[in-house]
Amino acid sequence: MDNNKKIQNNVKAPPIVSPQEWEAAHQQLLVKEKELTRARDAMAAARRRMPWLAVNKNYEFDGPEGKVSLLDLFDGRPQLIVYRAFFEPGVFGWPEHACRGCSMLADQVAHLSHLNARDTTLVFASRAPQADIA
Amino acid sequence: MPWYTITDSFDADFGVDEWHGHNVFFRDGDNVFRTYFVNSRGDEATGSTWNYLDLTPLGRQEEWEDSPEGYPQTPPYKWWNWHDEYAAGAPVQPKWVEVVKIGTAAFQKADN
Repeated sequence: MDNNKKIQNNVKAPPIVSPQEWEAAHQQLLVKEKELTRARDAMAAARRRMPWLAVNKNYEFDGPEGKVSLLDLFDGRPQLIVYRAFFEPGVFGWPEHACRGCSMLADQVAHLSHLNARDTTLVFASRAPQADIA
Repeated sequence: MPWYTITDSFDADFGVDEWHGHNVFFRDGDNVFRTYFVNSRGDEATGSTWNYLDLTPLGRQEEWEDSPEGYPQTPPYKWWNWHDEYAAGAPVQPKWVEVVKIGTAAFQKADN
């Protein structure tokens, strides 16, 4: 509440305009926003054409059920996204929680079933032992 | 969220030993490939289904996308579902198909 008051006092508001002027300004902004959308689509298309790098090392992780390989992390799907979260000794929050930024990310991730429906598995990976992650 | 413990040089090998980041991998049978990496400001948009899929080699797998030839694609909207109602191989509900057809016809222009 106090914060809101402070913001209101310090912010120099943009012009207050008529509905017609607001609509015109919005249309003008929309042109740039559409450019951004197209550019983002083109970037994703370029990512889909990135060359692939073969992973030849046999990486090993600890999971809730014991040792697993990088291949196991895919959980049978063709695509895997691994987010490296900082949750380990020496990182702020240890051992109660992961780094606050990483925790915030984990807290706002969409339901994984939507990604799974598109052949994708998302996992987090940290240095913390499973006993602390569980 | 599946949350694993790194036990070896995975973090150093994939650029995430000192800072957070997302690595994307593709699996062809038992062969694994690194296809993408993003960290720092690029990381912050993650969290939504669309952003994650846009980082993957297959993308959203929707027909409008500019993808290499032969990549799997289906119409947008139609595969979207409630998180607990996705079932492998389940047909799309006919009524939803109809709604999507009417909606996309009406808004196609605005969508471009």
